[in-house]
Amino acid sequence: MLELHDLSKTYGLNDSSVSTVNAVDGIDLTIEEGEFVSIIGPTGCGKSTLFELIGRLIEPTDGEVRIDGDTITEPDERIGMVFQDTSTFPWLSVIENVEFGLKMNGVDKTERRERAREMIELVGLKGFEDASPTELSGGMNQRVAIARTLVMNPDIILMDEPFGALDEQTRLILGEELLRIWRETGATILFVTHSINEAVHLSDRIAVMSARPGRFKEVVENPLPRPRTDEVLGKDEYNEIVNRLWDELRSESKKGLQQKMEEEAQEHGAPEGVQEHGAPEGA
Amino acid sequence: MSTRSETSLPGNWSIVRIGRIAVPLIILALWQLGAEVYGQFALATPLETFETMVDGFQDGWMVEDLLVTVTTLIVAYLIAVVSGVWVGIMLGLSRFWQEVFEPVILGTYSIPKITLFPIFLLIFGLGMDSMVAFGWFHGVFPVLILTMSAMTTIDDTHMNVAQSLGLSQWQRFKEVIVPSILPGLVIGLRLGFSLTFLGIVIGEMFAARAGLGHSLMLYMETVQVDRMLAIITVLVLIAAVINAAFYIIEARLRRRAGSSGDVAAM
Repeated sequence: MLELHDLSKTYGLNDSSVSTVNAVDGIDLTIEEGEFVSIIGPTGCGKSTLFELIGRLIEPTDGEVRIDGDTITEPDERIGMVFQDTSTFPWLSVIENVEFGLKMNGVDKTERRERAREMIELVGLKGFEDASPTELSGGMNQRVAIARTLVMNPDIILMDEPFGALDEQTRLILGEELLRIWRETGATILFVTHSINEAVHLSDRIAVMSARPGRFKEVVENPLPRPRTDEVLGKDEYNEIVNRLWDELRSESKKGLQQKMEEEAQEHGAPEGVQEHGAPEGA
Repeated sequence: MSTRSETSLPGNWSIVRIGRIAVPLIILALWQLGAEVYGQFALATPLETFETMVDGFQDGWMVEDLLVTVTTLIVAYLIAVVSGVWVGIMLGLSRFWQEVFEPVILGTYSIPKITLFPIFLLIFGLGMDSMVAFGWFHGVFPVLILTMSAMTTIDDTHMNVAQSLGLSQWQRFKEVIVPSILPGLVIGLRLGFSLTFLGIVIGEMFAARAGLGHSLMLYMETVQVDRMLAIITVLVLIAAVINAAFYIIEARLRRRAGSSGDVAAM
Protein backbone atom coordinates (compact mmCIF):
# COMPACT_ATOMS: atom_id res chain seq x y z
CA MET A 1 0.00 0.00 0.00
CA LEU A 2 1.28 3.42 -0.99
CA GLU A 3 0.15 6.41 1.03
CA LEU A 4 0.76 10.02 0.20
CA HIS A 5 0.12 12.16 3.19
CA ASP A 6 -0.17 15.96 2.88
CA LEU A 7 2.67 15.93 0.33
CA SER A 8 3.81 19.46 -0.52
CA LYS A 9 6.68 21.06 -2.36
CA THR A 10 7.56 24.72 -2.52
CA TYR A 11 10.53 25.76 -4.66
CA GLY A 12 12.76 28.66 -3.91
CA LEU A 13 12.51 28.70 -0.12
CA ASN A 14 16.16 28.00 0.68
CA ASP A 15 18.02 29.66 -2.17
CA SER A 16 18.21 33.29 -3.08
CA SER A 17 15.41 33.20 -5.65
CA VAL A 18 13.25 36.23 -5.94
CA SER A 19 10.01 34.31 -5.80
CA THR A 20 8.81 31.02 -4.40
CA VAL A 21 6.67 28.61 -6.36
CA ASN A 22 4.18 26.38 -4.68
CA ALA A 23 4.36 23.41 -7.06
CA VAL A 24 2.47 20.75 -5.13
CA ASP A 25 0.27 21.40 -2.15
CA GLY A 26 -1.23 18.97 0.33
CA ILE A 27 -1.56 15.82 -1.76
CA ASP A 28 -3.37 12.95 -0.02
CA LEU A 29 -3.87 9.60 -1.71
CA THR A 30 -3.95 5.96 -0.71
CA ILE A 31 -3.25 3.38 -3.37
CA GLU A 32 -4.04 -0.25 -2.66
CA GLU A 33 -1.77 -3.10 -3.62
CA GLY A 34 -2.16 -4.08 -7.27
CA GLU A 35 -4.13 -0.97 -8.14
CA PHE A 36 -3.60 1.04 -11.32
CA VAL A 37 -4.04 4.74 -10.59
CA SER A 38 -3.52 7.59 -13.07
CA ILE A 39 -2.86 11.21 -12.32
CA ILE A 40 -3.98 13.70 -14.95
CA GLY A 41 -3.60 17.43 -14.87
CA PRO A 42 -2.90 20.50 -16.97
CA THR A 43 0.61 21.47 -18.09
CA GLY A 44 2.71 22.90 -15.33
CA CYS A 45 0.46 21.62 -12.55
CA GLY A 46 3.25 19.85 -10.72
CA LYS A 47 2.63 16.32 -11.98
CA SER A 48 6.31 15.70 -12.49
CA THR A 49 7.17 17.28 -9.16
CA LEU A 50 4.73 14.89 -7.52
CA PHE A 51 6.33 11.98 -9.40
CA GLU A 52 9.77 13.00 -8.16
CA LEU A 53 8.47 13.49 -4.62
CA ILE A 54 7.00 10.00 -4.47
CA GLY A 55 10.20 8.49 -5.86
CA ARG A 56 12.10 10.55 -3.30
CA LEU A 57 14.33 12.12 -5.93
CA ILE A 58 13.50 15.41 -4.24
CA GLU A 59 12.67 16.24 -0.63
CA PRO A 60 9.13 17.33 0.14
CA THR A 61 8.70 20.65 1.93
CA ASP A 62 5.97 19.04 3.95
CA GLY A 63 4.20 15.70 4.31
CA GLU A 64 5.38 12.16 3.74
CA VAL A 65 5.29 9.07 1.55
CA ARG A 66 4.57 5.73 3.23
CA ILE A 67 4.89 2.25 1.87
CA ASP A 68 3.06 -0.41 3.89
CA GLY A 69 3.09 1.96 6.82
CA ASP A 70 6.77 2.98 6.89
CA THR A 71 7.78 6.48 5.92
CA ILE A 72 10.48 6.55 3.24
CA THR A 73 13.23 9.12 3.29
CA GLU A 74 15.35 8.09 0.30
CA PRO A 75 14.79 6.30 -3.05
CA ASP A 76 13.29 3.00 -2.04
CA GLU A 77 13.90 -0.33 -3.75
CA ARG A 78 10.19 -1.12 -3.49
CA ILE A 79 9.54 1.74 -5.91
CA GLY A 80 10.54 1.58 -9.56
CA MET A 81 10.50 4.66 -11.78
CA VAL A 82 9.98 5.03 -15.52
CA PHE A 83 10.78 8.46 -16.90
CA GLN A 84 9.25 10.52 -19.65
CA ASP A 85 12.38 11.22 -21.67
CA THR A 86 14.60 8.60 -23.18
CA SER A 87 16.46 7.36 -20.17
CA THR A 88 18.34 4.37 -21.54
CA PHE A 89 22.12 4.64 -21.38
CA PRO A 90 23.41 4.92 -24.95
CA TRP A 91 26.80 3.48 -24.00
CA LEU A 92 25.26 0.17 -22.89
CA SER A 93 23.51 -2.50 -24.94
CA VAL A 94 19.83 -3.32 -24.34
CA ILE A 95 20.59 -6.20 -21.99
CA GLU A 96 23.25 -4.21 -20.15
CA ASN A 97 20.70 -1.44 -19.63
CA VAL A 98 18.13 -3.86 -18.29
CA GLU A 99 20.53 -5.56 -15.89
CA PHE A 100 22.09 -2.26 -14.78
CA GLY A 101 20.24 -1.96 -11.48
CA LEU A 102 20.94 -5.57 -10.57
CA LYS A 103 24.62 -5.14 -11.36
CA MET A 104 24.80 -2.06 -9.13
CA ASN A 105 23.24 -4.10 -6.36
CA GLY A 106 25.88 -6.80 -6.68
CA VAL A 107 23.77 -9.54 -8.25
CA ASP A 108 26.10 -12.03 -9.96
CA LYS A 109 26.35 -12.12 -13.70
CA THR A 110 24.56 -15.41 -14.49
CA GLU A 111 21.59 -14.51 -12.38
CA ARG A 112 21.23 -10.95 -13.59
CA ARG A 113 21.58 -12.02 -17.25
CA GLU A 114 18.85 -14.56 -16.76
CA ARG A 115 16.49 -12.12 -15.07
CA ALA A 116 17.25 -9.42 -17.66
CA ARG A 117 16.48 -11.86 -20.48
CA GLU A 118 13.13 -12.72 -18.89
CA MET A 119 12.20 -9.05 -18.63
CA ILE A 120 13.33 -8.32 -22.18
CA GLU A 121 11.01 -11.10 -23.33
CA LEU A 122 8.19 -9.75 -21.15
CA VAL A 123 8.39 -6.32 -22.79
CA GLY A 124 8.56 -7.87 -26.25
CA LEU A 125 12.16 -7.10 -27.14
CA LYS A 126 13.44 -10.65 -27.57
CA GLY A 127 16.17 -10.65 -30.18
CA PHE A 128 17.29 -7.09 -29.39
CA GLU A 129 19.42 -8.00 -26.35
CA ASP A 130 22.69 -6.88 -27.91
CA ALA A 131 21.36 -3.91 -29.86
CA SER A 132 22.34 -0.39 -28.88
CA PRO A 133 19.51 1.86 -27.65
CA THR A 134 20.64 4.41 -30.23
CA GLU A 135 19.51 2.01 -32.97
CA LEU A 136 16.04 1.62 -31.45
CA SER A 137 12.91 3.76 -31.81
CA GLY A 138 11.51 5.87 -28.97
CA GLY A 139 8.87 3.24 -28.20
CA MET A 140 11.44 0.47 -28.04
CA ASN A 141 13.61 2.60 -25.77
CA GLN A 142 10.67 2.97 -23.41
CA ARG A 143 10.25 -0.80 -23.45
CA VAL A 144 13.89 -1.09 -22.40
CA ALA A 145 13.32 1.47 -19.64
CA ILE A 146 10.27 -0.47 -18.43
CA ALA A 147 12.23 -3.73 -18.42
CA ARG A 148 15.03 -2.03 -16.50
CA THR A 149 12.50 -1.02 -13.84
CA LEU A 150 10.67 -4.37 -13.79
CA VAL A 151 13.85 -6.39 -13.35
CA MET A 152 14.27 -4.85 -9.89
CA ASN A 153 10.95 -6.45 -8.99
CA PRO A 154 9.39 -3.32 -7.47
CA ASP A 155 6.06 -3.44 -5.62
CA ILE A 156 5.13 -0.04 -6.97
CA ILE A 157 5.90 1.34 -10.41
CA LEU A 158 5.81 5.10 -10.93
CA MET A 159 5.53 6.24 -14.52
CA ASP A 160 5.85 9.86 -15.61
CA GLU A 161 4.16 10.23 -19.01
CA PRO A 162 6.16 7.25 -20.25
CA PHE A 163 4.49 7.29 -23.65
CA GLY A 164 4.23 11.07 -23.88
CA ALA A 165 6.80 11.43 -26.62
CA LEU A 166 5.44 8.62 -28.78
CA ASP A 167 3.02 8.62 -31.67
CA GLU A 168 -0.62 7.65 -31.14
CA GLN A 169 -0.43 4.06 -32.44
CA THR A 170 2.71 3.21 -30.48
CA ARG A 171 1.09 4.75 -27.45
CA LEU A 172 -1.99 2.55 -27.74
CA ILE A 173 0.03 -0.60 -28.29
CA LEU A 174 2.38 0.11 -25.40
CA GLY A 175 -0.60 0.93 -23.19
CA GLU A 176 -2.09 -2.48 -23.88
CA GLU A 177 1.23 -4.16 -23.28
CA LEU A 178 1.56 -2.28 -20.01
CA LEU A 179 -1.80 -3.70 -18.89
CA ARG A 180 -0.60 -7.20 -19.75
CA ILE A 181 2.64 -6.64 -17.81
CA TRP A 182 0.66 -5.21 -14.91
CA ARG A 183 -1.51 -8.37 -14.81
CA GLU A 184 1.49 -10.67 -15.05
CA THR A 185 3.53 -8.93 -12.36
CA GLY A 186 0.74 -7.87 -10.01
CA ALA A 187 2.55 -4.58 -9.36
CA THR A 188 0.89 -1.39 -8.19
CA ILE A 189 1.12 1.29 -10.86
CA LEU A 190 0.92 5.05 -10.47
CA PHE A 191 0.77 6.56 -13.92
CA VAL A 192 1.18 10.26 -14.65
CA THR A 193 -0.26 11.42 -17.95
CA HIS A 194 -1.85 14.42 -19.62
CA SER A 195 -4.07 12.25 -21.81
CA ILE A 196 -7.60 11.67 -20.52
CA ASN A 197 -8.12 8.77 -22.94
CA GLU A 198 -4.96 7.07 -21.82
CA ALA A 199 -5.95 7.43 -18.16
CA VAL A 200 -9.44 6.05 -18.79
CA HIS A 201 -8.10 3.25 -20.93
CA LEU A 202 -5.60 2.06 -18.35
CA SER A 203 -6.60 2.82 -14.79
CA ASP A 204 -8.85 1.78 -11.92
CA ARG A 205 -8.93 5.28 -10.49
CA ILE A 206 -8.03 8.66 -11.90
CA ALA A 207 -6.85 11.59 -9.81
CA VAL A 208 -7.44 14.99 -11.41
CA MET A 209 -4.92 17.65 -10.45
CA SER A 210 -5.64 21.35 -10.33
CA ALA A 211 -3.47 24.06 -11.87
CA ARG A 212 -0.65 25.32 -9.65
CA PRO A 213 -0.49 24.88 -6.73
CA GLY A 214 -1.12 21.23 -7.65
CA ARG A 215 -3.84 19.66 -5.54
CA PHE A 216 -6.15 16.75 -6.18
CA LYS A 217 -9.39 18.26 -7.35
CA GLU A 218 -11.10 14.92 -7.43
CA VAL A 219 -10.30 11.21 -7.51
CA VAL A 220 -12.65 9.42 -9.91
CA GLU A 221 -13.44 5.70 -9.88
CA ASN A 222 -13.30 4.26 -13.36
CA PRO A 223 -16.52 2.28 -13.87
CA LEU A 224 -15.34 0.52 -17.03
CA PRO A 225 -14.94 -3.26 -16.63
CA ARG A 226 -11.76 -5.07 -17.61
CA PRO A 227 -10.54 -6.20 -20.04
CA ARG A 228 -11.00 -2.91 -21.81
CA THR A 229 -11.95 -4.34 -25.16
CA ASP A 230 -13.04 -2.24 -28.12
CA GLU A 231 -16.59 -3.08 -27.14
CA VAL A 232 -16.12 -1.67 -23.64
CA LEU A 233 -14.41 1.41 -24.99
CA GLY A 234 -17.27 1.90 -27.45
CA LYS A 235 -19.93 2.13 -24.74
CA ASP A 236 -21.64 5.28 -23.52
CA GLU A 237 -19.98 4.82 -20.15
CA TYR A 238 -16.63 5.47 -21.76
CA ASN A 239 -17.77 8.74 -23.25
CA GLU A 240 -19.43 9.71 -19.99
CA ILE A 241 -16.29 9.34 -17.93
CA VAL A 242 -14.11 11.02 -20.56
CA ASN A 243 -16.52 13.96 -20.66
CA ARG A 244 -16.69 14.15 -16.91
CA LEU A 245 -12.92 14.23 -16.59
CA TRP A 246 -12.68 16.83 -19.30
CA ASP A 247 -15.21 18.98 -17.46
CA GLU A 248 -13.04 18.76 -14.37
CA LEU A 249 -9.91 19.47 -16.29
CA ARG A 250 -11.04 22.23 -18.62
CA SER A 251 -11.03 25.13 -16.19
CA GLU A 252 -7.74 23.95 -14.69
CA SER A 253 -6.12 23.68 -18.11
CA LYS A 254 -7.15 27.23 -18.88
CA LYS A 255 -5.73 28.42 -15.59
CA GLY A 256 -2.54 26.47 -16.26
CA LEU A 257 -2.14 28.00 -19.70
CA GLN A 258 -2.71 31.46 -18.33
CA GLN A 259 -0.08 30.92 -15.63
CA LYS A 260 2.34 29.78 -18.26
CA MET A 261 1.72 32.79 -20.46
CA GLU A 262 2.07 35.18 -17.55
CA GLU A 263 5.36 33.57 -16.59
CA GLU A 264 6.67 33.84 -20.12
CA ALA A 265 5.62 37.46 -20.34
CA GLN A 266 7.44 38.11 -17.09
CA GLU A 267 10.56 36.34 -18.30
CA HIS A 268 10.70 38.31 -21.51
CA GLY A 269 10.05 41.56 -19.73
CA ALA A 270 12.57 40.83 -16.98
CA PRO A 271 16.13 42.21 -17.12
CA GLU A 272 18.86 39.87 -18.30
CA GLY A 273 20.00 37.14 -16.01
CA VAL A 274 16.82 36.95 -14.01
CA GLN A 275 15.43 34.06 -16.03
CA GLU A 276 17.96 31.67 -14.61
CA HIS A 277 16.88 32.32 -11.09
CA GLY A 278 13.22 32.52 -11.88
CA ALA A 279 10.54 29.95 -11.34
CA PRO A 280 11.58 26.34 -11.77
CA GLU A 281 9.26 24.29 -13.89
CA GLY A 282 6.24 22.96 -12.14
CA ALA A 283 5.93 20.04 -14.54
CA MET B 1 23.50 6.29 -35.89
CA SER B 2 26.18 7.75 -38.04
CA THR B 3 26.60 11.24 -39.33
CA ARG B 4 25.61 12.11 -42.84
CA SER B 5 29.16 12.22 -44.14
CA GLU B 6 29.79 8.74 -42.80
CA THR B 7 26.69 7.25 -44.34
CA SER B 8 27.68 8.63 -47.71
CA LEU B 9 31.15 7.13 -47.44
CA PRO B 10 30.67 3.61 -48.85
CA GLY B 11 29.88 4.87 -52.36
CA ASN B 12 32.88 7.22 -52.45
CA TRP B 13 35.06 5.08 -50.26
CA SER B 14 37.52 4.07 -52.98
CA ILE B 15 37.97 7.68 -54.10
CA VAL B 16 38.49 8.77 -50.50
CA ARG B 17 41.05 6.07 -50.05
CA ILE B 18 42.95 7.11 -53.18
CA GLY B 19 42.86 10.69 -51.92
CA ARG B 20 44.21 9.71 -48.54
CA ILE B 21 47.17 8.00 -50.15
CA ALA B 22 47.69 10.73 -52.76
CA VAL B 23 47.92 13.66 -50.35
CA PRO B 24 51.08 12.48 -48.53
CA LEU B 25 52.64 11.56 -51.87
CA ILE B 26 52.00 15.07 -53.20
CA ILE B 27 53.55 16.53 -50.06
CA LEU B 28 56.63 14.33 -50.56
CA ALA B 29 56.84 15.44 -54.19
CA LEU B 30 56.64 19.12 -53.19
CA TRP B 31 59.31 18.51 -50.56
CA GLN B 32 61.58 16.94 -53.20
CA LEU B 33 60.90 19.88 -55.52
CA GLY B 34 61.63 22.36 -52.74
CA ALA B 35 64.91 20.66 -51.92
CA GLU B 36 65.98 20.94 -55.53
CA VAL B 37 64.97 24.58 -55.82
CA TYR B 38 66.35 25.88 -52.51
CA GLY B 39 69.35 23.57 -52.32
CA GLN B 40 71.03 21.84 -49.45
CA PHE B 41 71.36 24.94 -47.28
CA ALA B 42 67.63 25.05 -46.59
CA LEU B 43 66.14 21.66 -47.36
CA ALA B 44 67.44 18.12 -47.60
CA THR B 45 65.59 15.72 -49.90
CA PRO B 46 63.11 13.26 -48.37
CA LEU B 47 65.50 10.38 -49.04
CA GLU B 48 68.48 12.14 -47.39
CA THR B 49 66.29 13.01 -44.45
CA PHE B 50 65.16 9.43 -44.09
CA GLU B 51 68.76 8.16 -44.20
CA THR B 52 69.85 10.74 -41.64
CA MET B 53 66.95 9.75 -39.40
CA VAL B 54 67.87 6.06 -39.56
CA ASP B 55 71.46 7.06 -38.86
CA GLY B 56 70.23 9.08 -35.88
CA PHE B 57 68.94 5.90 -34.31
CA GLN B 58 71.78 3.60 -35.43
CA ASP B 59 74.57 6.00 -34.63
CA GLY B 60 72.61 7.29 -31.67
CA TRP B 61 72.99 11.07 -32.09
CA MET B 62 69.23 11.48 -31.83
CA VAL B 63 68.41 8.89 -29.17
CA GLU B 64 69.29 10.93 -26.11
CA ASP B 65 67.36 14.00 -27.27
CA LEU B 66 64.41 11.83 -28.16
CA LEU B 67 64.40 10.24 -24.70
CA VAL B 68 64.54 13.65 -23.02
CA THR B 69 61.66 15.01 -25.09
CA VAL B 70 59.51 11.90 -24.78
CA THR B 71 60.06 11.66 -21.02
CA THR B 72 59.21 15.33 -20.58
CA LEU B 73 56.15 14.86 -22.74
CA ILE B 74 54.87 11.84 -20.82
CA VAL B 75 55.36 13.46 -17.42
CA ALA B 76 53.87 16.82 -18.43
CA TYR B 77 50.95 15.19 -20.22
CA LEU B 78 50.09 12.91 -17.31
CA ILE B 79 50.04 15.83 -14.92
CA ALA B 80 47.94 17.86 -17.39
CA VAL B 81 45.44 15.03 -17.82
CA VAL B 82 45.06 14.25 -14.13
CA SER B 83 44.81 17.87 -13.03
CA GLY B 84 42.66 18.96 -15.98
CA VAL B 85 40.16 16.12 -15.70
CA TRP B 86 39.95 16.40 -11.93
CA VAL B 87 39.45 20.16 -11.81
CA GLY B 88 37.10 19.97 -14.84
CA ILE B 89 34.86 17.44 -13.10
CA MET B 90 34.91 19.35 -9.81
CA LEU B 91 33.97 22.62 -11.53
CA GLY B 92 31.43 20.81 -13.70
CA LEU B 93 29.69 19.49 -10.61
CA SER B 94 29.12 22.96 -9.22
CA ARG B 95 27.38 25.60 -11.27
CA PHE B 96 28.59 28.27 -8.87
CA TRP B 97 32.31 27.50 -9.12
CA GLN B 98 32.07 26.94 -12.83
CA GLU B 99 30.63 30.41 -13.33
CA VAL B 100 33.28 31.94 -11.07
CA PHE B 101 36.23 30.28 -12.81
CA GLU B 102 35.10 29.99 -16.41
CA PRO B 103 36.08 33.53 -17.51
CA VAL B 104 39.55 33.17 -15.96
CA ILE B 105 40.10 29.77 -17.54
CA LEU B 106 38.89 30.80 -20.98
CA GLY B 107 40.89 34.01 -20.72
CA THR B 108 44.10 32.24 -19.81
CA TYR B 109 43.48 29.71 -22.57
CA SER B 110 43.30 32.47 -25.15
CA ILE B 111 46.58 34.25 -24.31
CA PRO B 112 49.71 33.25 -26.24
CA LYS B 113 51.19 31.19 -23.46
CA ILE B 114 54.74 31.49 -24.74
CA THR B 115 54.77 35.04 -23.37
CA LEU B 116 54.75 33.55 -19.87
CA PHE B 117 57.60 31.15 -20.63
CA PRO B 118 60.30 33.45 -19.16
CA ILE B 119 58.54 33.24 -15.79
CA PHE B 120 58.67 29.44 -15.92
CA LEU B 121 62.37 29.63 -16.79
CA LEU B 122 63.12 31.94 -13.87
CA ILE B 123 61.21 29.75 -11.43
CA PHE B 124 62.16 26.28 -12.62
CA GLY B 125 65.55 26.90 -14.26
CA LEU B 126 66.92 25.75 -17.58
CA GLY B 127 66.34 22.02 -17.09
CA MET B 128 63.57 19.51 -17.55
CA ASP B 129 61.49 20.94 -14.68
CA SER B 130 60.62 24.09 -16.52
CA MET B 131 59.84 22.10 -19.70
CA VAL B 132 57.45 19.86 -17.75
CA ALA B 133 55.86 22.85 -16.04
CA PHE B 134 55.47 24.81 -19.26
CA GLY B 135 54.24 21.76 -21.19
CA TRP B 136 51.61 21.21 -18.50
CA PHE B 137 50.56 24.85 -18.57
CA HIS B 138 50.37 24.80 -22.36
CA GLY B 139 48.29 21.63 -22.53
CA VAL B 140 46.08 21.56 -19.46
CA PHE B 141 43.47 24.05 -20.68
CA PRO B 142 41.72 22.08 -23.42
CA VAL B 143 41.57 19.07 -21.09
CA LEU B 144 40.05 21.22 -18.36
CA ILE B 145 37.68 23.17 -20.61
CA LEU B 146 36.36 20.19 -22.56
CA THR B 147 35.92 18.11 -19.40
CA MET B 148 34.01 20.98 -17.85
CA SER B 149 31.81 21.45 -20.92
CA ALA B 150 31.24 17.70 -21.23
CA MET B 151 29.95 17.75 -17.65
CA THR B 152 27.15 20.05 -18.77
CA THR B 153 26.03 17.49 -21.38
CA ILE B 154 25.19 14.89 -18.74
CA ASP B 155 21.54 14.00 -19.12
CA ASP B 156 19.49 14.88 -16.01
CA THR B 157 17.24 11.90 -16.68
CA HIS B 158 20.28 9.60 -16.52
CA MET B 159 21.18 11.04 -13.14
CA ASN B 160 17.57 10.57 -11.99
CA VAL B 161 17.68 6.94 -13.10
CA ALA B 162 20.90 6.47 -11.13
CA GLN B 163 19.31 8.05 -8.08
CA SER B 164 16.10 6.04 -8.33
CA LEU B 165 18.11 2.82 -8.59
CA GLY B 166 19.89 3.76 -5.38
CA LEU B 167 23.41 4.13 -6.79
CA SER B 168 26.13 5.28 -4.42
CA GLN B 169 28.09 8.47 -5.14
CA TRP B 170 31.00 6.42 -6.49
CA GLN B 171 28.72 4.27 -8.66
CA ARG B 172 27.09 7.38 -10.07
CA PHE B 173 30.49 8.78 -10.93
CA LYS B 174 31.88 5.58 -12.43
CA GLU B 175 28.79 4.23 -14.18
CA VAL B 176 26.98 7.37 -15.30
CA ILE B 177 29.18 10.48 -15.19
CA VAL B 178 32.31 8.97 -16.72
CA PRO B 179 30.61 7.26 -19.68
CA SER B 180 28.53 10.40 -20.29
CA ILE B 181 31.52 12.72 -20.51
CA LEU B 182 33.89 10.30 -22.24
CA PRO B 183 33.32 11.46 -25.84
CA GLY B 184 34.01 15.11 -24.92
CA LEU B 185 36.81 14.12 -22.59
CA VAL B 186 38.67 12.25 -25.33
CA ILE B 187 38.59 15.32 -27.59
CA GLY B 188 40.06 17.29 -24.70
CA LEU B 189 42.75 14.67 -24.21
CA ARG B 190 43.68 14.81 -27.89
CA LEU B 191 43.87 18.62 -27.99
CA GLY B 192 45.68 18.59 -24.66
CA PHE B 193 48.26 16.22 -26.07
CA SER B 194 48.93 18.38 -29.14
CA LEU B 195 49.32 21.51 -27.02
CA THR B 196 51.49 19.87 -24.35
CA PHE B 197 53.73 18.57 -27.12
CA LEU B 198 53.82 21.99 -28.77
CA GLY B 199 54.64 23.69 -25.47
CA ILE B 200 57.53 21.35 -24.79
CA VAL B 201 59.07 21.64 -28.26
CA ILE B 202 58.75 25.44 -28.20
CA GLY B 203 60.27 25.52 -24.73
CA GLU B 204 63.16 23.35 -25.85
CA MET B 205 63.75 25.48 -28.94
CA PHE B 206 63.68 28.64 -26.87
CA ALA B 207 65.79 27.72 -23.88
CA ALA B 208 66.94 24.25 -22.95
CA ARG B 209 70.09 22.20 -22.74
CA ALA B 210 68.67 19.03 -24.26
CA GLY B 211 65.75 17.60 -26.19
CA LEU B 212 64.72 17.45 -29.82
CA GLY B 213 63.66 21.12 -29.87
CA HIS B 214 67.04 22.19 -28.56
CA SER B 215 68.95 20.13 -31.16
CA LEU B 216 66.64 21.35 -33.88
CA MET B 217 67.79 24.92 -33.27
CA LEU B 218 71.41 23.80 -32.90
CA TYR B 219 71.40 22.06 -36.29
CA MET B 220 69.68 25.02 -37.88
CA GLU B 221 72.36 27.38 -36.60
CA THR B 222 75.14 25.05 -37.75
CA VAL B 223 73.36 24.45 -41.06
CA GLN B 224 73.11 20.66 -40.67
CA VAL B 225 69.95 20.69 -42.68
CA ASP B 226 69.63 16.92 -43.03
CA ARG B 227 69.72 16.44 -39.24
CA MET B 228 67.32 19.32 -38.73
CA LEU B 229 64.83 17.73 -41.10
CA ALA B 230 65.34 14.31 -39.53
CA ILE B 231 64.32 15.77 -36.16
CA ILE B 232 61.31 17.51 -37.67
CA THR B 233 60.25 14.21 -39.25
CA VAL B 234 60.50 12.38 -35.94
CA LEU B 235 58.41 15.08 -34.21
CA VAL B 236 55.80 14.91 -36.96
CA LEU B 237 55.67 11.12 -36.71
CA ILE B 238 55.14 11.18 -32.95
CA ALA B 239 52.31 13.70 -33.29
CA ALA B 240 50.72 11.82 -36.20
CA VAL B 241 50.75 8.42 -34.50
CA ILE B 242 49.25 9.71 -31.25
CA ASN B 243 46.63 11.74 -33.10
CA ALA B 244 45.64 8.77 -35.22
CA ALA B 245 45.21 6.69 -32.07
CA PHE B 246 42.92 9.37 -30.61
CA TYR B 247 40.86 9.54 -33.78
CA ILE B 248 40.32 5.79 -33.69
CA ILE B 249 39.18 5.96 -30.06
CA GLU B 250 36.89 8.90 -30.81
CA ALA B 251 35.31 7.13 -33.78
CA ARG B 252 34.69 4.08 -31.64
CA LEU B 253 33.08 6.14 -28.89
CA ARG B 254 30.91 7.92 -31.42
CA ARG B 255 29.71 4.63 -32.82
CA ARG B 256 28.95 3.37 -29.33
CA ALA B 257 27.22 6.49 -28.10
CA GLY B 258 25.32 7.29 -31.28
CA SER B 259 24.89 10.90 -32.28
CA SER B 260 25.18 12.10 -28.68
CA GLY B 261 28.93 11.62 -29.05
CA ASP B 262 29.53 14.82 -30.96
CA VAL B 263 30.41 17.20 -28.20
CA ALA B 264 32.67 19.74 -29.74
CA ALA B 265 34.28 20.08 -33.09
CA MET B 266 37.39 21.90 -31.99
